[in-house]
Amino acid sequence: MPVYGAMQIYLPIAEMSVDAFLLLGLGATVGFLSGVFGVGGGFLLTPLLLFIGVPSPIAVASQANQLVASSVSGVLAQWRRGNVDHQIGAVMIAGGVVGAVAGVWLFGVLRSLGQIDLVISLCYVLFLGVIGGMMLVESLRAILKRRRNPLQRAKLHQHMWIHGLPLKMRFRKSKLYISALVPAAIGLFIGLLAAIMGVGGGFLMIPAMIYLLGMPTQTVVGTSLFQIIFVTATVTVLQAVQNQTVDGVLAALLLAGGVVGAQFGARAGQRLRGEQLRALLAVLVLAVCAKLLIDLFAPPPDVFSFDYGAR
Amino acid sequence: MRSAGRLVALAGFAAGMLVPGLPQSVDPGWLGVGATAKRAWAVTPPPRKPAIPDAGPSSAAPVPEVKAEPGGNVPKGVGLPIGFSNNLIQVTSGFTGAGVVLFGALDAPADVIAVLRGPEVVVNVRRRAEVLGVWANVESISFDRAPAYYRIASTRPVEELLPADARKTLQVGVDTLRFNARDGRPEREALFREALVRLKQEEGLYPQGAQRVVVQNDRLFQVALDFPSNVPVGVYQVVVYAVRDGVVVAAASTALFIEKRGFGATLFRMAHEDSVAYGLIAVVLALAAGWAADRMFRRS
Amino acid sequence: MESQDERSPAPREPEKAGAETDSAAKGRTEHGRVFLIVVDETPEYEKALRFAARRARRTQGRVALLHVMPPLDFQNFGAVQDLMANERRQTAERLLQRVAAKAQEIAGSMPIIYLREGSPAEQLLKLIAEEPQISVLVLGGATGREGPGPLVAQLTGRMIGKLRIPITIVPGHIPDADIDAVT
Repeated sequence: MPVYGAMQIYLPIAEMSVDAFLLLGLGATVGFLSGVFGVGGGFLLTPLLLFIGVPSPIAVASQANQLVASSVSGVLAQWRRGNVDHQIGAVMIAGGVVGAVAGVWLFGVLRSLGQIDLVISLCYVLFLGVIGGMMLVESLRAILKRRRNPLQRAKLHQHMWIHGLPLKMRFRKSKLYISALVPAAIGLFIGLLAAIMGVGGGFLMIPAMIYLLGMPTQTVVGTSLFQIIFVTATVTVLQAVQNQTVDGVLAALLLAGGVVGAQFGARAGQRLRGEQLRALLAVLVLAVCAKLLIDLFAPPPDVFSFDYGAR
Repeated sequence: MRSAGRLVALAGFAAGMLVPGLPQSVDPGWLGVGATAKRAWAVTPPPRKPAIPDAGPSSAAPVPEVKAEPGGNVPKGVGLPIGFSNNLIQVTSGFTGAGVVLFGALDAPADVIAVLRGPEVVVNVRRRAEVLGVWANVESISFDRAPAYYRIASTRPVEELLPADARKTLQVGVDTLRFNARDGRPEREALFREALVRLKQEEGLYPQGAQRVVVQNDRLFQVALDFPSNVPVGVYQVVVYAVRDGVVVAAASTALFIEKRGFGATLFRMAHEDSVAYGLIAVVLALAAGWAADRMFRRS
Repeated sequence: MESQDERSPAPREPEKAGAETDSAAKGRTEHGRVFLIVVDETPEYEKALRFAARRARRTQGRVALLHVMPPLDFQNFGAVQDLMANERRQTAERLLQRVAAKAQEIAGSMPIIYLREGSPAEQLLKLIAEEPQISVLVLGGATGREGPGPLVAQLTGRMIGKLRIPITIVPGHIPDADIDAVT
């Protein structure tokens, strides 16, 4: 890291000084993105942190901490409109906590093996590539004026294997009678993602809740945010205890940038049409994915590296 | 016990600190005929937080105690008072590096070698290789006792001052450092060791070559030591050897404390020592921040 | 983001129904006043509905219903966003149909229906500015500790300067019989 003197902000857990302007710019960018794209913009944050040199374990864990805050402010608005299904949320949280415990444990194992950076990068390349690609195709089709048929949910009489699972529960708010194993499994997967990638996973959870659980769309966003609060809170505590990778200063800066930038982002987002916005996000996501991919394949300047281990 | 020669005892460190990695027994061969040496410093567990010595360099410099075996030859005046201009370096949020001056006095003309070592840490050295086109870590060796920082300073090149076996025993020079590889694979060890030294040198943590120690009037010596902004924190130990005719005639040691200070340091300490509370506080603060953000912008 | 329903191509039956009667209403604006109420999830709007519908019947005017849907969050997948928009519209239409039936029962005429998206106060002002036939705004006021509700607070506060028509506020705790007595 170059030294510029007084304009450095010290990240105490990452044990590195970062240019203050760089972090503020990053915070504003992230805030703007999350304002435009909702909480879903957050999965660009970890790669951006990696690009400025924040070690990936710290980027991931600190972002989980930051997500607690942004999910709380997101869920409160949904809560007031009565859009949170606490029952399904509780089942998903149960699965999510199990996933978080398993994920943080796996995180520690991978870290001691020296593979955590690689796994985080690969996960991001995979998710960003698939999601960015799908979004780009979808928005290009829409922009080229081809009508898009909203992907209809499965009709009730269609029998999916999911409906044959045991432990059926009645969820009153969402008017569902389904096996509790399905929301628990979705929660578990999201818990794993939150631990290893530091994302809330809304981009996967929301379609899964709609198309696998058959939840009404009205309660999907609120319920997913409700679950993410508990999952990211669990991840934060576990990462802090097991890996000591939660950088409070970094999380606070990202949060401040998020709160302020989100206001501008929300305004800018309303001026753009949905499809343009989606194409823009898709390009952004694919660009970040490409950069990560190039870094994975580029020969390192030195094949040797060192890190400090526990005695 | 052999017939006693001189015994240079490095005793009574100010903080009663364990100095791992220092020579625990000294090969008598290079000390002179029949010389013997013993480990003579107090071995106590390191304190959790380093005790900060009193202000002022003089009080921090322990006067090495010179003991003689009964009937031994006590050389006259082998006292070697040393000190730092400042033995506490505070790494604050705007830290861009710092310098200290190590000084001392000789009671007779001699050459001086100063060895400064940072805290010992476990270091994993990893080697990457291409796996399906992707660069991944494929091999690693852990070293148990690699100093986080290492540097030597001397009046003349150390090769001219001490024979190789003595340098090796006292770990004078990067090439003499004993890293203690965990998993015994001697054929790979040298490669990884070399890589670690190279990486450390690139980070400025094992500065190459010996810094020049300046002696005035054959008695007073001093050397300026500067630390980069990424200097690892912890308790540093400097050992100063007075050398005459290829033999160490006096030695002294003192500690240098490099500490994080300020808000960041508090956070760091809490994150490592009280991690449950740290995690819970991080969550509670995030919950509060989310609630506050909602209140602030509820209107819009 | 699809901000205005007018520009959205999806079928909008209730509004169409309203629009048809709109032109008829315009023809007799001199005769009947249009009482606008805002339909939302609060219990107070029912008081406003009762008041407005009874006044409309008495004055041979009409009731207009406005429902403002909260804006949709951006979704990564367009298919999901479209589905959300569809379901949200269906929910809003069901609500409006229910309320419209009630309004018709009391007022004796078919209400005009407006369905908008965005911030309620903003959309309300915009609608009043666009539709000259609207002559009175009737709002229900919450009587809890938290104040009269955001809409009443905003419109009687800084936004009152932007209003072209009078507001009637019906406190939520007034029994139906008392409303009936003054209409």
